Amino acid sequence: MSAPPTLHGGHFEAMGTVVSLAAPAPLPAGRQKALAAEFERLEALFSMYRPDSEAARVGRGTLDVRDASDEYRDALQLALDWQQATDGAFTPFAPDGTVDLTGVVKALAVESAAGLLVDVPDWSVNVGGDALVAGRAGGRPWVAGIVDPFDRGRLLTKCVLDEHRAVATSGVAERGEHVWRRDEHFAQVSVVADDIVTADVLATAILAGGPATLDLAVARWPVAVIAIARDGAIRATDAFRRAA
Amino acid sequence: MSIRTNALAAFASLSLLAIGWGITQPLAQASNDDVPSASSGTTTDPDASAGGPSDEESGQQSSPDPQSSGSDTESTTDAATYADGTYTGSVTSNEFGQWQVSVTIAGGQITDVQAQTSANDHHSERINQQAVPMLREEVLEAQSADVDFVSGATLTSDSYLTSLQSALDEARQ
Repeated sequence: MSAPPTLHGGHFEAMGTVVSLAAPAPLPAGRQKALAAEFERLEALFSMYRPDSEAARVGRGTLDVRDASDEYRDALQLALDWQQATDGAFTPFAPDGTVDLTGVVKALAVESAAGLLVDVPDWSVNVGGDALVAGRAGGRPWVAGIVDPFDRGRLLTKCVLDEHRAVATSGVAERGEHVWRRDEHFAQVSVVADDIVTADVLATAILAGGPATLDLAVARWPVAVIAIARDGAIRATDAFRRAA
Repeated sequence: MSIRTNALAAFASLSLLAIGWGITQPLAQASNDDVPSASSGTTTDPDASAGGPSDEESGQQSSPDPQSSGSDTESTTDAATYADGTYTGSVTSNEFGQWQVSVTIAGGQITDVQAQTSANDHHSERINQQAVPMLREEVLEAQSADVDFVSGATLTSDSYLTSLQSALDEARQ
């Protein structure tokens, strides 16, 4: 096994979690600050915990969604499209009918971060478990570890982000993300996909919808999935199988 | 990018070309068109052709291009002025191969779309695979030393402090 690459990085708080950056070369001066500012901008727009955000005002009913910004409305439309595509397992609606876009906002923030890194060939951005990479980790592909839901100090498995660039994990202990579950089957679901919105939405959808949604997801999208049930039983696609 | 992503990208560019020509009739679905994920690095729609609410006029299926959020289909000239036949777009290339999309017009409507590629389907993830039961001992193992970052259920700023990710971040500046 080769020695792990030396990586430069940084981290900062955003959206109630921590954003971790890593790259084989240091990021250009000021870039981390620019990323932090972009996360702050998105949080000001979308956070349900900030009374003045568009999201909070739409949720309260004091802002008509038709008067909201294009950015908000695009995010809402995206969430609605995914609600359709996952047969409702993913939804931007709470049971009481209020709109909550926290299910897509983190992923959109990661995509926004990617847009601020187009001139950097190799990087990884991990927003509290939603991660996207570009290039390689200095001589080899990026590797993401998946936490063991029953022992958060240990890794259950890993995935090489070579062909698919995004990974997201949805689990029972989520702050602020109202995973309205129709099915209590899974304790944690990780999805590896070509893009972070797909990974994030499908992880959330499978956690909420259970085994039927898992079957739907792997049938319809080119993704790798590992899903751990509350009783510890594991279902996974081939990418997570140990080599013979 | 997956095969379907490339096909959609080529299809999307042809769709925009078709829209420029003023051909806005409903598109026939390719025979085994499932629900793909089309990614072009920005906001990703699951697949607008999955049906359901569309903000295009007259119930037309939306383009699968994730960037055409409903604003670029405008009727212009009468599509019936275009001669029946098959129109082939230019070849695009990427690291996986070459792509070319053909559109067939009959009676002033697009009746078929075909995408051809020279790319080999060597991707390890395919659509329509299965998530099978696996025992822990059958699952690919991992140690912290193997990985560059960690994905788990969303950390709070507090739980981050004792997380594996924070241990990795500590070692990097």
